Amino acid sequence: MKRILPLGICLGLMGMILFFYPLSFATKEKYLREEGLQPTVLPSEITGIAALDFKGLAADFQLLQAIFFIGQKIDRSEMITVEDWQRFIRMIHAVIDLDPYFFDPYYFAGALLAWGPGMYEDAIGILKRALDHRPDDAFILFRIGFVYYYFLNDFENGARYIATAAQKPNAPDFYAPLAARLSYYAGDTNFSLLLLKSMLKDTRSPEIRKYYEKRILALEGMQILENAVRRFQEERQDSPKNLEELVDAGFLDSIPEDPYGGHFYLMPTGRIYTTSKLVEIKEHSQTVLEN
Amino acid sequence: MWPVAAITFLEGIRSRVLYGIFIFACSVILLSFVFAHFFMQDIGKVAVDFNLAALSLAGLLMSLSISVDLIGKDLDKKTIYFVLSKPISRNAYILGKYSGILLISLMAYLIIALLTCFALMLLQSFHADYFKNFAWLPYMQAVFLDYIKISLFNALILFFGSFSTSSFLNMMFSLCIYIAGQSYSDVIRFLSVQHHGEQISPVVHYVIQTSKYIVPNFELFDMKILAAHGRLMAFSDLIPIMGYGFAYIALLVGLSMIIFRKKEFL
Repeated sequence: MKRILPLGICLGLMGMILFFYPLSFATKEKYLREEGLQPTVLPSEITGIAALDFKGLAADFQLLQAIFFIGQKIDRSEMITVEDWQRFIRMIHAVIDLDPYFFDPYYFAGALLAWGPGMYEDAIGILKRALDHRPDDAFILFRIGFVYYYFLNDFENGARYIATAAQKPNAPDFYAPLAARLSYYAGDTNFSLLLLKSMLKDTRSPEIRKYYEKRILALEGMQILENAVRRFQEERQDSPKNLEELVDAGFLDSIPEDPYGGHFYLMPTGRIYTTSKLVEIKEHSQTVLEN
Repeated sequence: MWPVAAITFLEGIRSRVLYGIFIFACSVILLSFVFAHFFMQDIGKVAVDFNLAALSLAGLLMSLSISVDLIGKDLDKKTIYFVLSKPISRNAYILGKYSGILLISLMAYLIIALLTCFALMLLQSFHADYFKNFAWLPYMQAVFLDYIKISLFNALILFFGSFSTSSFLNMMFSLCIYIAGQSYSDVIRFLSVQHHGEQISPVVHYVIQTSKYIVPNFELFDMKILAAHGRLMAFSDLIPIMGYGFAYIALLVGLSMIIFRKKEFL
């Protein structure tokens, strides 16, 4: 009995800790959220001095802070304001100042800023900072070329960066033919799909993979529709008036759904586009509201 | 000299603090397994950061606890009278103490470095695709330079121990100089940039510029970031750094011997 009692008390106290911990953690989180407290972004001049000889480790933790800050908001489907994105950019620049050779901040911010809020110039700005410290990194050059080509419709710069990437050691074999075909296939859905699928293969981040997968799904829908329009034109020597005509004529079983929540439509040029403009309908309306 | 070195070494490895530091280092090494999963591509870099930080932190903690204690113990407990009554010169005593401390640090560095190598090999086998920039030679170079840094830090502790009357004061002096030595290059860089027209006091400038000739620059021995990215420093570039380290160690040990020789024990 003398031994069982202390053991029982210990187990009881441990049980209390396990019971109260998640409750108290959730309460603290709630208060922090209500107060709107944001992570502090210390300038790298301060963190660099304070980190002593552990600057690499400080860069790792600061990047984790940036990933969690924006990742939590994405996971909770919270509204991400322009100020939030600006804070995120400042955090990434602070990480790069601490360890300019670190690949992840360029990779993560470059992709997220382009795919999320559409801050293409900021994405390119961060990716270009890598060129001073990782001049032989074909992957970074490819990403810069991709943002120019895909988002900014700047095919000349897109081709130039991907061609430079192709000349780097360890560049994948498909970069060179891709650069050569870039101008010719400007705006082509099949070509964009090829680019996106190659990037998805190299991507480990679940947040960024989600962006790619959704866009691939949308482009595959557009590809199906464009192929049906082409077959229609070849067989009937005429263009369909709308997408429903393709279904009525038996060229399609049904019109694919736009994963962004919009509706595909046929443009006068014969190309397919969508009312969502390939942006999540909720995000799209939020951006409009903020502007 | 060697009997003092042997006694210092044996005293050091009997210290329970040493085991605590080993447990701490092992915990940081284990943390690298957890944290590596939070990153997307540069997992090798993060793993090296954690493992080199474990080694470097363990070295610092060991110096601040065991070295400070080993140097101050004889004076605090008055066993110095017994030691100096033997046919051992004061210079041999100082050299013996420093050699003993260097041996303990060497042993600890070898064991922790071996553990970190094992951890890195394991992580590399799990994430081979994300260890493309990793190379063993730069890693070993960083470990070696960190050992020189800790030897210099121990020489600094020995120097303060030769005239300081308390172990706590010795620890505080050494720690302050270490922090200053790690950060004054950054402060100089920071001051060299104009900050919105704000004028920095010329006195501050003078103090910082002078400090670089007095305070040892510990930052020179920090190759962790380069090692994390698999970048090897050329041997010709290593020579001046090693020369600086060895010269500073020799100077501090020499000064310690001079001060200790003139010290009066009441």
